[in-house]
Amino acid sequence: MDGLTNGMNTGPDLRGWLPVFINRRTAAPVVEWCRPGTRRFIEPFFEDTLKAVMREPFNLLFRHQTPLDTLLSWQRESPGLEPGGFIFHMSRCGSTLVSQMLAALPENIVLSEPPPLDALLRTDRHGATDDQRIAWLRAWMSAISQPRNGEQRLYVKLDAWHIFDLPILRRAFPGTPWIFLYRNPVEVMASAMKAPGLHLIEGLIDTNMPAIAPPGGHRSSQAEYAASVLANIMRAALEHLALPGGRAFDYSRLPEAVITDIAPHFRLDLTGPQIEAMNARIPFNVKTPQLYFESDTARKQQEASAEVRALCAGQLDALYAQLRAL
Amino acid sequence: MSTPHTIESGFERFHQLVLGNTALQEDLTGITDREAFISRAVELGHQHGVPIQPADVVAALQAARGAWMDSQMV
Repeated sequence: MDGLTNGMNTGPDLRGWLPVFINRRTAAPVVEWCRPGTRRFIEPFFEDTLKAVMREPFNLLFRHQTPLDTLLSWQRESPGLEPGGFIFHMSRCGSTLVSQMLAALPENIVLSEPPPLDALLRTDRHGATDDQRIAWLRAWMSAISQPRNGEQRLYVKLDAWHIFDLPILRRAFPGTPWIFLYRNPVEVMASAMKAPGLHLIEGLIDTNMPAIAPPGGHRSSQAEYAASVLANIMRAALEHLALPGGRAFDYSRLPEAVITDIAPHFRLDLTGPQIEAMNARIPFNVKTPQLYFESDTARKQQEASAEVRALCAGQLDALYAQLRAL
Repeated sequence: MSTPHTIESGFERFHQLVLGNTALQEDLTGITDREAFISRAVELGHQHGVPIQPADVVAALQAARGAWMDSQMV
């Protein structure tokens, strides 16, 4: 038993339902909808909120399944919010802090690295055209941002590798401002060597992007692979930052720049109480709220190995300097 | 990722009833306490002429939990 037939034939009433999964294991992608009630996306990552939602008996038992094109009809019937800002980043550079500060305001919907967005971007691997991907991206964004608590704005923090998808995201959302967050590469690399993100381990992401999965294949070390991907991310950001709509921010400018620069760039006119609410998110480590947030620059610098320092000097430091010079 | 395919057949009519009825969805959404959810589901089933027993809901929840856990395995 499932909700697929229900969704395929007459189309379910989707009021109150959100498209939280896109199943790519089937020949035709299936969208799975759950009903989170008034629960906001306030956890550090989209998936964390989803895990909480899926602990609720209702969502364990009742989910609609529909084809992708149901997103299009639902968008026509019930348009949601247009994204007010995209957060791109090179990972380990304060992006979660930025997204959590934005999520501190109840009028904001903040989606942090939502897997369905990545699934839609990757549909090109299964033959989707750019026009189809753009239509699905817009329709998914509309459906996921249906206000359930009077929300007025939508912000999306993307995965680090989505900087390579910026051209299609800009085509889909030409009016949406975006930022790229970066950090001293020695510190990013030191962090990545301890716990690398998916994009920094060869073969973990299902993609045909040469910047993540180089045709040449395996490099000699994990650090070398990570450095090559980070270099590609920084190059892509530099290339796109030459166009309007984007701004780059160094980790060293956080968290202050969220209030002074990022919010205005995202056309957020903050009131005093809103600034207070956003700043209230700062004292805590945003990924592990029981720990106090503090800059770990000194520790990361100490942790960097000789190999990491050499790779940064050879491949990344010059790109970092270019970003800082913008 | 899929909806539970192993829900007990006695529960199936209630499942379809809820998926097609927004008022029932609103009633049951947000009940986080398992026992309270089971009681309310049984009550609503009887009210709508689709009688189910607590054991039906328990079995459905167990099956759904298993399917969810399986879907999370990489």
